[in-house]
Amino acid sequence: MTNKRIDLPQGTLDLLILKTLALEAQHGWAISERIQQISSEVLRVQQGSLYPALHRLERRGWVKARWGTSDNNRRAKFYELTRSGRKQLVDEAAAWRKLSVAVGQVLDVC
Amino acid sequence: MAQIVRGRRASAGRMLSDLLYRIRALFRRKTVEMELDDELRFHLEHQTEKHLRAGQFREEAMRRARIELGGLEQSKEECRQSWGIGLIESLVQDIGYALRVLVKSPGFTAAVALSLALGIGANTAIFSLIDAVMWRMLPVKDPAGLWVIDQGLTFQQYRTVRDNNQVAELAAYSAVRLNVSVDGNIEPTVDGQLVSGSYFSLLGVNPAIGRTISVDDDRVPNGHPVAMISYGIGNADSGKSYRFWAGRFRFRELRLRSSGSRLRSFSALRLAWPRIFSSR
Repeated sequence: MTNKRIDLPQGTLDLLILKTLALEAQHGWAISERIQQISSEVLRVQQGSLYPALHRLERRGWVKARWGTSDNNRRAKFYELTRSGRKQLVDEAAAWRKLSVAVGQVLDVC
Repeated sequence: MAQIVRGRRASAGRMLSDLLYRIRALFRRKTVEMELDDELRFHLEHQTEKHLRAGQFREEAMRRARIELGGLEQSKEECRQSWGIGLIESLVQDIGYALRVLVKSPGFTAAVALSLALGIGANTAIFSLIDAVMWRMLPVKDPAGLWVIDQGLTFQQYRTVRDNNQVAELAAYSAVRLNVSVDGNIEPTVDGQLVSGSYFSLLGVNPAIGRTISVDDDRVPNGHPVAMISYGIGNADSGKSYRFWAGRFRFRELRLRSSGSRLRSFSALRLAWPRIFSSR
Protein backbone atom coordinates (compact mmCIF):
# COMPACT_ATOMS: atom_id res chain seq x y z
CA MET A 1 0.00 0.00 0.00
CA THR A 2 2.68 2.47 1.07
CA ASN A 3 4.73 1.69 -2.01
CA LYS A 4 1.94 2.78 -4.29
CA ARG A 5 1.82 6.24 -2.82
CA ILE A 6 3.51 8.96 -4.81
CA ASP A 7 5.48 11.89 -3.47
CA LEU A 8 4.06 15.32 -4.05
CA PRO A 9 5.61 17.21 -6.95
CA GLN A 10 7.51 20.20 -5.67
CA GLY A 11 5.29 23.25 -5.31
CA THR A 12 2.02 21.35 -5.29
CA LEU A 13 1.88 21.16 -1.50
CA ASP A 14 1.21 24.91 -1.38
CA LEU A 15 -1.66 24.45 -3.80
CA LEU A 16 -3.19 21.64 -1.75
CA ILE A 17 -2.89 23.64 1.46
CA LEU A 18 -4.55 26.67 -0.09
CA LYS A 19 -7.35 24.48 -1.45
CA THR A 20 -7.88 22.84 1.93
CA LEU A 21 -8.09 26.20 3.66
CA ALA A 22 -10.54 27.58 1.09
CA LEU A 23 -13.42 25.92 2.93
CA GLU A 24 -12.61 26.88 6.51
CA ALA A 25 -9.80 27.79 8.88
CA GLN A 26 -7.84 24.73 10.05
CA HIS A 27 -4.91 23.87 12.26
CA GLY A 28 -1.89 22.06 10.84
CA TRP A 29 -2.81 18.56 11.91
CA ALA A 30 -6.34 18.89 10.45
CA ILE A 31 -4.86 20.15 7.19
CA SER A 32 -2.60 17.13 6.87
CA GLU A 33 -5.47 14.77 7.72
CA ARG A 34 -7.76 16.46 5.21
CA ILE A 35 -5.22 16.28 2.42
CA GLN A 36 -4.66 12.58 3.14
CA GLN A 37 -8.38 11.86 3.10
CA ILE A 38 -9.21 13.81 -0.03
CA SER A 39 -6.31 12.42 -2.01
CA SER A 40 -7.60 8.93 -1.10
CA GLU A 41 -4.34 7.81 0.45
CA VAL A 42 -2.49 8.05 -2.84
CA LEU A 43 -0.50 11.17 -2.14
CA ARG A 44 2.09 11.00 0.56
CA VAL A 45 2.18 14.37 2.29
CA GLN A 46 5.26 14.54 4.46
CA GLN A 47 4.11 16.01 7.72
CA GLY A 48 7.60 17.45 8.16
CA SER A 49 7.23 19.60 5.08
CA LEU A 50 3.73 20.77 5.98
CA TYR A 51 4.71 23.23 8.69
CA PRO A 52 7.57 24.91 6.81
CA ALA A 53 5.13 25.32 3.91
CA LEU A 54 2.49 26.85 6.19
CA HIS A 55 4.99 29.29 7.63
CA ARG A 56 6.17 30.21 4.15
CA LEU A 57 2.61 30.82 3.01
CA GLU A 58 2.01 32.93 6.09
CA ARG A 59 5.11 35.00 5.34
CA ARG A 60 3.93 35.53 1.78
CA GLY A 61 0.62 36.80 3.12
CA TRP A 62 -1.50 34.08 1.51
CA VAL A 63 -2.62 32.63 4.81
CA LYS A 64 -3.16 34.29 8.16
CA ALA A 65 -2.57 32.54 11.47
CA ARG A 66 -4.40 33.08 14.72
CA TRP A 67 -4.47 31.14 17.95
CA GLY A 68 -7.75 29.54 18.87
CA THR A 69 -9.20 26.59 20.75
CA SER A 70 -9.38 23.18 19.12
CA ASP A 71 -12.17 20.60 19.46
CA ASN A 72 -10.56 19.05 22.52
CA ASN A 73 -10.12 22.46 24.16
CA ARG A 74 -6.46 22.81 23.38
CA ARG A 75 -4.72 25.99 22.24
CA ALA A 76 -4.04 25.54 18.53
CA LYS A 77 -2.72 27.65 15.68
CA PHE A 78 -5.41 28.04 13.03
CA TYR A 79 -4.65 29.07 9.49
CA GLU A 80 -7.10 30.85 7.22
CA LEU A 81 -6.92 32.06 3.66
CA THR A 82 -6.41 35.77 3.01
CA ARG A 83 -7.80 37.62 0.02
CA SER A 84 -4.51 37.44 -1.85
CA GLY A 85 -4.32 33.77 -0.86
CA ARG A 86 -7.69 33.16 -2.51
CA LYS A 87 -6.41 34.82 -5.67
CA GLN A 88 -3.21 32.80 -5.47
CA LEU A 89 -5.28 29.61 -5.22
CA VAL A 90 -7.18 30.51 -8.41
CA ASP A 91 -3.93 31.30 -10.25
CA GLU A 92 -2.10 28.18 -9.08
CA ALA A 93 -5.05 25.89 -9.77
CA ALA A 94 -5.33 27.26 -13.31
CA ALA A 95 -1.59 26.83 -13.85
CA TRP A 96 -1.72 23.29 -12.53
CA ARG A 97 -4.62 22.32 -14.81
CA LYS A 98 -2.83 23.80 -17.80
CA LEU A 99 0.33 21.90 -16.91
CA SER A 100 -1.37 18.55 -16.33
CA VAL A 101 -3.34 18.86 -19.59
CA ALA A 102 -0.15 19.70 -21.47
CA VAL A 103 1.80 16.82 -19.91
CA GLY A 104 -1.14 14.48 -20.62
CA GLN A 105 -1.17 15.54 -24.24
CA VAL A 106 2.52 14.89 -24.60
CA LEU A 107 2.15 11.45 -23.03
CA ASP A 108 -0.75 10.57 -25.35
CA VAL A 109 1.16 11.58 -28.44
CA CYS A 110 4.25 9.55 -27.65
CA MET B 1 8.98 16.83 -11.26
CA ALA B 2 6.78 19.71 -12.15
CA GLN B 3 7.25 23.13 -10.65
CA ILE B 4 4.16 25.26 -10.67
CA VAL B 5 4.90 28.70 -11.92
CA ARG B 6 3.81 31.34 -9.48
CA GLY B 7 3.00 34.89 -10.40
CA ARG B 8 5.82 37.15 -9.25
CA ARG B 9 3.70 40.28 -9.13
CA ALA B 10 4.31 41.12 -5.52
CA SER B 11 1.94 43.79 -4.35
CA ALA B 12 3.15 46.47 -1.98
CA GLY B 13 0.82 45.21 0.73
CA ARG B 14 2.18 41.69 0.50
CA MET B 15 5.75 42.95 0.60
CA LEU B 16 4.90 44.88 3.75
CA SER B 17 3.32 41.87 5.46
CA ASP B 18 6.35 39.78 4.44
CA LEU B 19 8.62 42.40 6.03
CA LEU B 20 6.55 42.55 9.21
CA TYR B 21 6.57 38.77 9.44
CA ARG B 22 10.36 38.66 9.20
CA ILE B 23 10.80 41.50 11.69
CA ARG B 24 8.60 39.66 14.17
CA ALA B 25 10.58 36.45 13.64
CA LEU B 26 13.81 38.39 14.27
CA PHE B 27 12.92 40.57 17.23
CA ARG B 28 10.23 38.52 18.99
CA ARG B 29 12.28 35.41 18.60
CA LYS B 30 11.34 33.91 21.97
CA THR B 31 7.60 34.23 21.35
CA VAL B 32 7.89 32.90 17.82
CA GLU B 33 9.95 29.92 19.02
CA MET B 34 7.42 29.15 21.74
CA GLU B 35 4.60 29.31 19.24
CA LEU B 36 6.49 26.95 16.95
CA ASP B 37 7.02 24.52 19.81
CA ASP B 38 3.34 24.69 20.80
CA GLU B 39 2.22 24.17 17.25
CA LEU B 40 4.36 21.10 16.60
CA ARG B 41 3.59 19.56 20.00
CA PHE B 42 -0.09 20.03 19.30
CA HIS B 43 0.39 18.15 16.06
CA LEU B 44 2.29 15.33 17.79
CA GLU B 45 -0.40 14.94 20.42
CA HIS B 46 -3.12 14.66 17.83
CA GLN B 47 -1.14 12.21 15.76
CA THR B 48 -0.39 10.14 18.88
CA GLU B 49 -4.07 10.04 19.80
CA LYS B 50 -4.87 8.90 16.30
CA HIS B 51 -2.50 5.95 16.66
CA LEU B 52 -3.83 5.23 20.16
CA ARG B 53 -7.34 5.04 18.77
CA ALA B 54 -6.03 2.57 16.21
CA GLY B 55 -5.08 0.36 19.13
CA GLN B 56 -1.38 1.02 19.55
CA PHE B 57 0.45 1.32 22.83
CA ARG B 58 1.26 4.82 23.98
CA GLU B 59 5.06 4.44 23.55
CA GLU B 60 4.72 3.13 20.02
CA ALA B 61 2.07 5.72 19.13
CA MET B 62 4.30 8.57 20.25
CA ARG B 63 7.31 7.14 18.43
CA ARG B 64 5.42 6.81 15.17
CA ALA B 65 4.03 10.32 15.44
CA ARG B 66 7.53 11.70 15.84
CA ILE B 67 8.88 9.71 12.92
CA GLU B 68 6.06 10.85 10.68
CA LEU B 69 6.81 14.46 11.51
CA GLY B 70 10.43 13.82 10.67
CA GLY B 71 11.69 14.56 14.17
CA LEU B 72 10.67 17.52 16.30
CA GLU B 73 13.98 19.41 16.16
CA GLN B 74 14.47 18.87 12.47
CA SER B 75 10.95 20.08 11.73
CA LYS B 76 11.61 23.16 13.80
CA GLU B 77 14.80 23.87 11.89
CA GLU B 78 12.99 23.57 8.57
CA CYS B 79 10.30 25.95 9.77
CA ARG B 80 12.94 28.47 10.84
CA GLN B 81 14.34 28.36 7.34
CA SER B 82 11.02 29.42 5.89
CA TRP B 83 10.90 32.50 8.10
CA GLY B 84 13.33 34.17 5.72
CA ILE B 85 15.73 35.41 8.37
CA GLY B 86 18.54 32.92 7.88
CA LEU B 87 20.68 35.40 5.97
CA ILE B 88 20.41 38.11 8.61
CA GLU B 89 21.02 35.68 11.44
CA SER B 90 24.14 34.25 9.89
CA LEU B 91 25.30 37.80 9.13
CA VAL B 92 24.90 38.76 12.79
CA GLN B 93 26.78 35.60 13.80
CA ASP B 94 29.56 36.37 11.32
CA ILE B 95 29.92 39.93 12.59
CA GLY B 96 30.07 38.68 16.17
CA TYR B 97 32.75 36.16 15.20
CA ALA B 98 34.73 38.83 13.34
CA LEU B 99 34.63 41.16 16.36
CA ARG B 100 35.84 38.39 18.68
CA VAL B 101 38.74 37.59 16.36
CA LEU B 102 39.67 41.28 16.08
CA VAL B 103 39.67 41.70 19.86
CA LYS B 104 41.94 38.66 20.19
CA SER B 105 44.64 40.07 17.89
CA PRO B 106 44.97 43.81 18.57
CA GLY B 107 48.13 44.14 16.45
CA PHE B 108 46.38 42.90 13.34
CA THR B 109 43.38 45.07 14.14
CA ALA B 110 45.57 48.15 14.44
CA ALA B 111 47.26 47.38 11.11
CA VAL B 112 43.90 47.01 9.40
CA ALA B 113 42.57 50.22 10.96
CA LEU B 114 45.72 52.09 9.96
CA SER B 115 45.67 50.95 6.34
CA LEU B 116 41.98 51.82 6.12
CA ALA B 117 42.68 55.25 7.59
CA LEU B 118 45.52 55.87 5.15
CA GLY B 119 43.47 54.70 2.20
CA ILE B 120 40.52 56.88 3.09
CA GLY B 121 42.82 59.81 3.86
CA ALA B 122 44.61 59.56 0.51
CA ASN B 123 41.30 59.41 -1.32
CA THR B 124 40.02 62.44 0.55
CA ALA B 125 43.15 64.41 -0.25
CA ILE B 126 42.98 63.59 -3.94
CA PHE B 127 39.30 64.41 -4.04
CA SER B 128 39.91 67.77 -2.37
CA LEU B 129 42.58 68.59 -4.95
CA ILE B 130 40.42 67.57 -7.91
CA ASP B 131 37.53 69.49 -6.41
CA ALA B 132 39.58 72.68 -6.04
CA VAL B 133 41.29 72.43 -9.42
CA MET B 134 38.62 71.03 -11.71
CA TRP B 135 35.14 71.42 -10.27
CA ARG B 136 35.10 74.52 -8.08
CA MET B 137 33.95 77.62 -9.92
CA LEU B 138 36.41 80.47 -10.25
CA PRO B 139 35.68 83.24 -7.75
CA VAL B 140 34.70 85.70 -10.45
CA LYS B 141 31.52 87.48 -11.55
CA ASP B 142 30.29 85.02 -14.19
CA PRO B 143 32.45 81.88 -14.30
CA ALA B 144 30.16 80.06 -16.73
CA GLY B 145 30.39 82.88 -19.23
CA LEU B 146 34.16 82.81 -19.26
CA TRP B 147 36.03 81.35 -22.19
CA VAL B 148 39.73 80.89 -22.80
CA ILE B 149 40.05 81.66 -26.47
CA ASP B 150 43.58 80.79 -27.40
CA GLN B 151 46.98 80.63 -25.96
CA GLY B 152 49.99 82.06 -27.71
CA LEU B 153 48.53 85.20 -29.25
CA THR B 154 50.82 88.22 -29.33
CA PHE B 155 49.65 91.42 -27.68
CA GLN B 156 49.31 92.98 -31.13
CA GLN B 157 47.04 90.15 -32.28
CA TYR B 158 44.98 90.52 -29.13
CA ARG B 159 44.48 94.24 -29.83
CA THR B 160 43.43 93.56 -33.39
CA VAL B 161 40.88 90.98 -32.26
CA ARG B 162 39.66 93.24 -29.48
CA ASP B 163 39.17 96.26 -31.75
CA ASN B 164 37.39 94.31 -34.50
CA ASN B 165 35.00 92.21 -32.49
CA GLN B 166 31.49 93.27 -31.52
CA VAL B 167 30.55 90.11 -29.67
CA ALA B 168 32.51 89.65 -26.50
CA GLU B 169 34.46 91.55 -23.91
CA LEU B 170 38.06 90.53 -24.14
CA ALA B 171 40.95 90.57 -21.73
CA ALA B 172 44.46 89.21 -22.09
CA TYR B 173 46.98 87.95 -19.64
CA SER B 174 50.41 86.50 -19.78
CA ALA B 175 52.55 84.93 -17.10
CA VAL B 176 55.71 86.69 -16.17
CA ARG B 177 58.48 86.31 -13.63
CA LEU B 178 58.96 89.58 -11.81
CA ASN B 179 62.00 90.91 -10.08
CA VAL B 180 61.22 92.70 -6.86
CA SER B 181 63.04 95.17 -4.72
CA VAL B 182 61.79 96.47 -1.43
CA ASP B 183 63.34 99.74 -0.30
CA GLY B 184 66.15 99.16 -2.75
CA ASN B 185 66.93 95.61 -1.56
CA ILE B 186 66.53 92.89 -4.18
CA GLU B 187 64.07 90.24 -3.09
CA PRO B 188 63.47 86.77 -4.55
CA THR B 189 61.51 86.87 -7.83
CA VAL B 190 57.75 86.29 -7.76
CA ASP B 191 55.19 84.93 -10.22
CA GLY B 192 53.16 87.64 -11.86
CA GLN B 193 50.82 88.27 -14.73
CA LEU B 194 50.88 90.97 -17.34
CA VAL B 195 47.23 91.84 -17.85
CA SER B 196 45.22 94.03 -20.17
CA GLY B 197 43.30 96.97 -18.72
CA SER B 198 39.99 95.17 -19.13
CA TYR B 199 41.10 92.15 -17.10
CA PHE B 200 39.64 93.02 -13.72
CA SER B 201 36.45 94.68 -14.96
CA LEU B 202 35.74 91.65 -17.16
CA LEU B 203 36.23 89.24 -14.28
CA GLY B 204 34.27 91.50 -11.94
CA VAL B 205 36.99 91.34 -9.29
CA ASN B 206 37.24 94.22 -6.83
CA PRO B 207 40.26 95.18 -4.75
CA ALA B 208 40.30 94.90 -1.00
CA ILE B 209 42.03 98.27 -0.84
CA GLY B 210 42.82 100.87 -3.50
CA ARG B 211 41.86 100.37 -7.11
CA THR B 212 42.29 97.70 -9.77
CA ILE B 213 44.15 98.13 -13.02
CA SER B 214 41.69 99.74 -15.43
CA VAL B 215 41.30 100.36 -19.14
CA ASP B 216 42.81 103.80 -18.65
CA ASP B 217 46.08 102.21 -17.60
CA ASP B 218 46.60 100.58 -20.94
CA ARG B 219 45.75 103.29 -23.55
CA VAL B 220 49.39 104.00 -24.40
CA PRO B 221 51.65 100.93 -24.72
CA ASN B 222 54.10 101.04 -21.82
CA GLY B 223 52.61 104.44 -21.05
CA HIS B 224 52.45 104.23 -17.32
CA PRO B 225 53.01 100.75 -15.95
CA VAL B 226 51.26 100.09 -12.65
CA ALA B 227 51.15 97.02 -10.46
CA MET B 228 48.75 95.40 -8.03
CA ILE B 229 49.76 93.13 -5.22
CA SER B 230 47.62 90.09 -4.55
CA TYR B 231 46.27 89.53 -1.09
CA GLY B 232 48.34 86.42 -0.87
CA ILE B 233 51.68 88.19 -1.09
CA GLY B 234 51.81 88.03 2.64
CA ASN B 235 52.95 90.72 4.97
CA ALA B 236 53.52 93.48 2.49
CA ASP B 237 54.73 96.03 4.93
CA SER B 238 53.14 99.40 4.78
CA GLY B 239 55.33 102.40 4.20
CA LYS B 240 57.82 100.44 2.14
CA SER B 241 58.71 101.12 -1.43
CA TYR B 242 58.16 98.22 -3.83
CA ARG B 243 59.68 98.13 -7.32
CA PHE B 244 58.93 95.48 -9.93
CA TRP B 245 60.56 94.85 -13.22
CA ALA B 246 60.67 92.18 -15.84
CA GLY B 247 62.99 92.39 -18.81
CA ARG B 248 62.77 95.84 -20.27
CA PHE B 249 59.52 96.72 -18.49
CA ARG B 250 59.92 98.65 -15.34
CA PHE B 251 56.84 99.43 -13.34
CA ARG B 252 56.12 102.56 -11.45
CA GLU B 253 57.36 102.48 -7.96
CA LEU B 254 54.71 101.33 -5.59
CA ARG B 255 54.69 102.89 -2.20
CA LEU B 256 52.37 101.13 0.16
CA ARG B 257 50.72 103.77 2.24
CA SER B 258 48.33 101.71 4.25
CA SER B 259 48.77 98.38 2.60
CA GLY B 260 48.38 99.00 -1.10
CA SER B 261 45.96 97.49 -3.58
CA ARG B 262 45.35 93.92 -2.75
CA LEU B 263 42.86 91.35 -3.91
CA ARG B 264 41.18 89.07 -1.51
CA SER B 265 40.10 85.55 -2.50
CA PHE B 266 41.29 85.89 -6.02
CA SER B 267 44.64 84.85 -7.31
CA ALA B 268 44.41 84.54 -11.06
CA LEU B 269 43.08 82.37 -13.82
CA ARG B 270 45.90 79.92 -13.50
CA LEU B 271 47.15 77.51 -10.96
CA ALA B 272 50.51 79.23 -10.50
CA TRP B 273 48.97 81.78 -8.13
CA PRO B 274 50.62 84.93 -9.40
CA ARG B 275 51.33 87.40 -6.68
CA ILE B 276 51.58 90.55 -8.77
CA PHE B 277 49.38 91.89 -11.55
CA SER B 278 50.84 94.47 -13.89
CA SER B 279 49.42 96.50 -16.66
CA ARG B 280 51.02 95.94 -19.95
